[in-house]
Amino acid sequence: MGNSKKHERLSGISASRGIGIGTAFVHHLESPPVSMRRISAVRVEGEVQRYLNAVRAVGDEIRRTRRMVEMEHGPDLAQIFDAQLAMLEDNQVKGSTVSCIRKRHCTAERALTMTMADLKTAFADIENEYLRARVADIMDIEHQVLMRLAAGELHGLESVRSNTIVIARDLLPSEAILLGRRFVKGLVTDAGGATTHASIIARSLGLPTVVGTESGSRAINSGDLVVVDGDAGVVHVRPKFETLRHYRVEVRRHLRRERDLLSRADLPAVTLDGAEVDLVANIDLPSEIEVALANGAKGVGMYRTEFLFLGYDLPGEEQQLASYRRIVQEMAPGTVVIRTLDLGGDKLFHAVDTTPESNPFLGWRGIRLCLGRPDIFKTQLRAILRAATGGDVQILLPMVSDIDQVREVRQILAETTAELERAGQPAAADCKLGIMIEVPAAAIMADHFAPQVDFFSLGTNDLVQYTLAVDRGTAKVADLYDQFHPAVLQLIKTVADSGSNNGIPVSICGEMAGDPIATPLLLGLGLTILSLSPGLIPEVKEVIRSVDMGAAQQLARQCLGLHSGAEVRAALGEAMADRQRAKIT
Amino acid sequence: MSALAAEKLAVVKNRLGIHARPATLLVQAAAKFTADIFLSKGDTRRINGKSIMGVMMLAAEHGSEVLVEAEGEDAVEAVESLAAVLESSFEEGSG
Repeated sequence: MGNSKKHERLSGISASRGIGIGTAFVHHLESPPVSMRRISAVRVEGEVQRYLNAVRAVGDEIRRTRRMVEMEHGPDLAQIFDAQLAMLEDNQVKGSTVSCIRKRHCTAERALTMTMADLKTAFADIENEYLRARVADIMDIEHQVLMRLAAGELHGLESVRSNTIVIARDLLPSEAILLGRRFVKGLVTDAGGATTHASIIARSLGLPTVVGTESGSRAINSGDLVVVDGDAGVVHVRPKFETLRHYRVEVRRHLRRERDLLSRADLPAVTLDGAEVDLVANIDLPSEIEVALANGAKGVGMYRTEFLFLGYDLPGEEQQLASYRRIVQEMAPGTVVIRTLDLGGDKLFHAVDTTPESNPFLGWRGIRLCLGRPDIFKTQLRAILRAATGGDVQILLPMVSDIDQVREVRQILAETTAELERAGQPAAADCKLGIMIEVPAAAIMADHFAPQVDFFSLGTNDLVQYTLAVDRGTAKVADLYDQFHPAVLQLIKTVADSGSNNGIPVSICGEMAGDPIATPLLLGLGLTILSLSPGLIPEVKEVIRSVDMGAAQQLARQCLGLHSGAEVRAALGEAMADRQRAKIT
Repeated sequence: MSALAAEKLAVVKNRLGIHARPATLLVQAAAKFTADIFLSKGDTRRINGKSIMGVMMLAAEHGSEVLVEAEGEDAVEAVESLAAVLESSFEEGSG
């Protein structure tokens, strides 16, 4: 507290773009201390009542959250709260806690922790790995009741009335939902990862978010002024006056520009010389379709289905169908590309037996996991094929590195189609099948893959990291991660050329697709389908409308001949300045 | 009416066993009956069929046999209903 006046700069990973300025609300996951004192006999029944009231209040809170989640995200996600409610209100738990208070004259907090400790021990002995992992739920419930007994600060977020930045070690799904509140302007977490519930929800809300700061919740005190720079992945705590002024100007500029761009969202994405470009959206949740359409998206270029799989249980066919169908119907007649499950086994620990890997990015994930667990994969394919009766749906496979993987998927698809047919289930018979090009092997072998698939989609985030052997989550090497590295550009060119030679479309869905400085280069390399975050569409479209295709091709040729990412960046910056000058004169 | 007792053996059909969601459905079904309901697997201790913690601790995996016992006015219906939940696959019609 003594040095609380000093400004500080924390760096992390950008999970959702934009800039947020506000007062810190530090959310502590740690439970309050549990009092070991004995209570007097006359206070026993009061203590029992205090415990039961806390359970009821937490139950009401979970039900409210459940209703909110159901309205916003559909019944599948809401279902995860049912198990939590059942555990919270379990008669056995309530019974033994109450009798503990009565027999031992201990506080409600102490009685609850004793009951839960017994449960945790019992669960730790269960052989089934999935059930054993439910210890986390027991701890979550215990924590919520303890917080409520302490009239905890967990609920303070509901009452904030001015611009607030939420700071947390990590957020539980039930808490992440609170981020949708009006005055919340940003999120900072210690834990990392762009595929956590919190990151995905923050992105869908357009909430500037930096994750993986490691020390954020300790370095920041409630009430501190905080700037979240979701574009740079940086957090400024108690910023200097100049920093703050700079960001205030930025926020205003952002807002003005956003309004201005949105007003032109309906203009076509065509270059000065009349070449048409398809701008489509990357989404995580059905609720994002509305924003995508408002920003002028013509379809969904990549629907990441991971969110469905982050809950307590594997999503069933009907659950998945409901989400897919909603997206397909709301986007019709636009095309919807559904990417099949792209998670590592570590994220599915509750449903899949996994062994820890020393290098998960090179491990059992994406299509590798799906082919190893055909039950999970087939359920998803069935749901996709059924949803596809409602519009134009295409299937996209992640992490493909070997041609046999495509053959195997084709066979599974054929089996699934036949099964649906036998069951008399209406389903699409011929969804187009494409692969992500994100492993360098697939890019180099593009000509071999092309005859086997209907389209390519360049996943540049992973392609960059695999090509350059850089994990950008590792701070010491993060500056070696460069999407403009000429090696990456050559791979993109190989894939784009292969697509046009073989007559199949090639799209790009990595972050590069949403980076306005990269737009002319991508067009010049031959990519005319860009899939990006909905909020970035207007700005990229603005660039497209100011570019001449001939000039873009020349720029691409120039960049391919350069020696480093820095040189490419400089050339792109120069080209942008030229276009701006041309616009003014 | 006098109290009745009933029992029935059910085989778990769900591929992933009785994990959190099936356990929730099972407990919700049990709550509809006034009868006391108990579940046991092999020679394990009987657990309260109305407690989700108990049901999860049963750790009933795919293919395991679970004995459902009930005591009370609606014991017969309770046993039938819970056995049906145990034997359902939980995959279809959930959305």
